[in-house]
Amino acid sequence: MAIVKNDIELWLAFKDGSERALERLYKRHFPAMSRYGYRVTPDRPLVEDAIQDLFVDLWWRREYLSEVEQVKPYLLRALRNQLLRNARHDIFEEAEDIDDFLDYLSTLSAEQHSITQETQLSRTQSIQNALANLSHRQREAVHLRFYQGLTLDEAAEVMGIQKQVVKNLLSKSYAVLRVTLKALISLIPVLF
Amino acid sequence: MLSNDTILPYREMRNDYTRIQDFLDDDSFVRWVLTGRDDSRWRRFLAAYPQQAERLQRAQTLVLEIQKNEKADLPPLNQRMVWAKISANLHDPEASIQESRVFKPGRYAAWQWAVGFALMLGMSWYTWRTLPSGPITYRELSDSIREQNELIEKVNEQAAPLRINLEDGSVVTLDKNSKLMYPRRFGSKNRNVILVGEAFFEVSRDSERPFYIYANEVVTKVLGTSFRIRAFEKEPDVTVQVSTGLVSVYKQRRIDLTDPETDGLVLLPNQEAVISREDENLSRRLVEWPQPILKREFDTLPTRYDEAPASRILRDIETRYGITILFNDDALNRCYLTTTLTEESLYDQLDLICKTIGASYKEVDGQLVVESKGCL
Repeated sequence: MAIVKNDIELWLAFKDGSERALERLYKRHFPAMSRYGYRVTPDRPLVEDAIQDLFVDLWWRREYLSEVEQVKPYLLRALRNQLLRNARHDIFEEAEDIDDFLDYLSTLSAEQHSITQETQLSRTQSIQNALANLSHRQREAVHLRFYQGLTLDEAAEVMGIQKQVVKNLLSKSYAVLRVTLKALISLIPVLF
Repeated sequence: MLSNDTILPYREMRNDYTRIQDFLDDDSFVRWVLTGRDDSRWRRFLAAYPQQAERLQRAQTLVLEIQKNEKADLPPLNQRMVWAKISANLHDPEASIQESRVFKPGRYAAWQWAVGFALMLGMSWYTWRTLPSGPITYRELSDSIREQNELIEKVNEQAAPLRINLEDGSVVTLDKNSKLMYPRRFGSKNRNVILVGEAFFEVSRDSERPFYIYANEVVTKVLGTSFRIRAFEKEPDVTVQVSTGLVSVYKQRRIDLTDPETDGLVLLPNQEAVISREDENLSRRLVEWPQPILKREFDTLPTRYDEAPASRILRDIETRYGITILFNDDALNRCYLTTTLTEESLYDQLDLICKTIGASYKEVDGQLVVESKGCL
């Protein structure tokens, strides 16, 4: 008979020294972490090493960890930090600076939607192509919100930015995606 | 006409969704679409505001389409293999990512063990008779540190720095083409590691157990601090650079772990020692880019000075960088400056100050000396 434990129970058990609990947390969150890690950087060994380092690090520091409210956002943020640490001298650093700058720009022009983008995208473009038009950071924000299901506050915490900046990133993304939606909407039956 | 209160007793039932985006910005809405939670709330919402149905449904479709797309992107990561590596590290700390050689007692010839043990007891006959004179190699160093049952060697062949957590909480960040050898558990008297290459050390405080780093012929003794060491086998010099804390650096010709401290240097923050391996030369100087030792948030020293005496400004700089600046108090008390110190480097700041008051400065043995005839 399998007893299903929720994340918090597993977290406490792991902090108490249960390797089994850590493994279960790992199995439960690995798919989400690998998808997010891959979204941040498509360098496979880098992501794998970061996940590995992160779990080993958590294990050895388990007595000093705080109790978390939500395990998944915690792990995602920790993964992001680990990726940053591991890839310190790599392209990540340059990308970070550019992203910060773009984030800053987005706070200035929150209401400005890119008109040219809307008119250029054809109606037959799939959502995949539409998402590919987003910047790295926008893509990341969209992933965290609509795949990982994080709240705006949680996404802000993971990405290390202000909540308003997250909203702006998403806002710009919607402009791009909304055009695509016009093409899709006619094909989807009303759901309720 | 039914009033809102009858259908929706909850105060939080709002209806200010004028664009699709407003739904997307609502945490509860996104959660409902992705997981089905808060279902009753949203059904109630639609029942109360049927005119929102189309807008809501468009938002819902968008979320689902994104989710589907992100889900399809399955990265080729190997879950099981990564866990195997994690699991291996939960008992033996830092079985390396790259190369790992864990030295267990059985692996080495008995005579090497006897040698190591003899060294441990400080029998100097061994060092004089058996070892050749000249530079000490990694092999010799590693052969001589056998305090614990298990020694771990970590090699970094990749460009990315490798972070190593030691048993006492110290962290070593190993640069490319470098290796570190350390025991799984440190002894009770001291903590010894061997370095070839370059690494940044953050040593945890433990006054009971000084931390020794053996790098070529140089031994660095630390109580708790952060610093960088560069000691490549092919290079003629060994460099030790201190970021915070205190480090004692000395040269050791022979491998003699029980009698370490000979003549050496004590390095303060922003100082570095350059040790020439061939001659006995140990010299100290300021690092090329001195950094403030005070963290930004704790730095309450002013950066704007309005007709302030140069002596005061120099003393503030001393405090901020942890560097000693020698100058004639009387002379510089009477030199007044109005200036703003921005993010410039330490040397730029000194250039500015000296130029303004007609002084000059030079570096002597890790300290700065400002010479001035005074101002009128």
